[in-house]
Amino acid sequence: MDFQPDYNHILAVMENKRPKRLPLYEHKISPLVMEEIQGESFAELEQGDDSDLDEFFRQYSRFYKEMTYDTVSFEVTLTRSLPGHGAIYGGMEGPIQNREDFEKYPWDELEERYYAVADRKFAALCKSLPEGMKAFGGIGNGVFEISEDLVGFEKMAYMMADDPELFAELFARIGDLFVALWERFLKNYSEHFAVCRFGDDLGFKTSTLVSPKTIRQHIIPQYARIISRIKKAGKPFIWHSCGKIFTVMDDVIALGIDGKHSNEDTIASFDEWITRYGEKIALLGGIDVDILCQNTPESIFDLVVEKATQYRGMANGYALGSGNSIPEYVPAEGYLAMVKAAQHIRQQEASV
Amino acid sequence: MSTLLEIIYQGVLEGDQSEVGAGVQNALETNHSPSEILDNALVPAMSEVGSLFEEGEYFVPEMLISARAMQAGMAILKPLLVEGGVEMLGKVVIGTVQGDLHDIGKNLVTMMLEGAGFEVIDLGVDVAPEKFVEAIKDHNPDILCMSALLTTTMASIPVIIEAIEQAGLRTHVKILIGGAPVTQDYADQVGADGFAQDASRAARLATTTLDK
Repeated sequence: MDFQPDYNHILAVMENKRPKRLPLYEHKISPLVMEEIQGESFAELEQGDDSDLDEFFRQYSRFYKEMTYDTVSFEVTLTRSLPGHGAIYGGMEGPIQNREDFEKYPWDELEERYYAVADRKFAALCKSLPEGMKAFGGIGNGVFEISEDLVGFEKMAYMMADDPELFAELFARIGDLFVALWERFLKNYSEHFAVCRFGDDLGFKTSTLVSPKTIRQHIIPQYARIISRIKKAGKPFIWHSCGKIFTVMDDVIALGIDGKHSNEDTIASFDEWITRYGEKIALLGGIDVDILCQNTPESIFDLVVEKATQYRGMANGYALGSGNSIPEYVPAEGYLAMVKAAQHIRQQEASV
Repeated sequence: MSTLLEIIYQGVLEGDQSEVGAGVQNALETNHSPSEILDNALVPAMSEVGSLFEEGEYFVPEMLISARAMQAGMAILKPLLVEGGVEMLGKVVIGTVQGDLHDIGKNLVTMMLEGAGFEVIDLGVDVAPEKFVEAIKDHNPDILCMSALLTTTMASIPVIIEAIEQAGLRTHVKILIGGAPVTQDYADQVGADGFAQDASRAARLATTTLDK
């Protein structure tokens, strides 16, 4: 199939308009899944020197083009640049447990630590973008996730009760860091990124992880600072956040986000997301990762054709993809069945 | 409820661990028995915390803070309960399944089970099937709780249930499961005895499971 990528389809989605053809979107695709599909090993090159990185991104961007995406999703996560990182995964304390830890944490070094890694990757990515494609992403992780990584979720709950002033200062300081990181990102890379995004998982199966009051008091104000800078740079922004977060959706929409990604069927069906928010913002994804893991390629294809046709009919701005991402445990054939379903819908629409 | 027990109850609801610790000490000094304090103040308070969570009034941090306050009281009461031969409501073995390292949900369930009056043996994360089998042999629990956060690690649940069956222990223990991708349908499909979608409901389910 002669596919010509065109990131304007994704920009139309971001304007909450129906694009001429159904675009594909993924938050992340594991390079290991890409390797399996392309039949070439390249994932390890991401850790190599500049020429390795060039080759990594050549393969990486080629994959997105061959799978018929219009944009290449990429972010460099912040957590890996944080000294003492890891508490976000559970099972360990973060490096900040009290006022003394907070004061001595090397906040002023973090921007340089991040860009020492990120600049090389963003630069190599920008060079690799095929004609008609732009990148989609930016700085990985959000305000809440960084607080989880620096303190640990359980300890953060205790900090909130025991030292509310420190708790408040922590979020403000994380906001300062993100503002600095995003300003630099926008200055250096916005030309190559069609859409900016960050992911910040605020919810779980039955509710938000912290109260909506806490989110409004400590997290939303920091989001506002970041998103205002992205919008001022003329870039659309989508927010990726997992879990049952309906109670704060209107607050985040009020910040001027253009789209939202992440859905799980055990929390709400994707058509519920469209019904609730489809008039206001673009909605991306729709296919629960579980579907891609548990079913045969044939049934995935049929299910995705049915669901994505329905979602494209209901929503204004919609791009098809998994409800979360394609980590290494998603079977390559399941992922491919979803991609083929998207191409099938495009062909059906083109033939009408 | 006496004023002292009321103070303990409120202390747990408000997550005030020093208030609860002092309240338990005062209650013991004024001839309240350890089991009276547990049954009439700490357990009902954590039950109320669970209800408030289910109603959307409390969130995970509030539950954690209340559980910490409850534990401040339990630290004083536990040796006295053991000394007095007071039996806990039941015994639970808990762990995340092999391959799953996510412990926040499991820790919350543990706290809520303790708050409901259970003795809990926490096997930690990434627990192999044979470790669950060994724990059932060693501790003779009433209930085994397992959780999995990921679709892929969820597949370990039937493997563990099969290992328990192979060891001839399936009728000795009730099996409750939970975690992000887990549903009631899945619990039925793999032959678990129950499913709960959050920590509060898990504690309630464990209590009702004991009655069956």
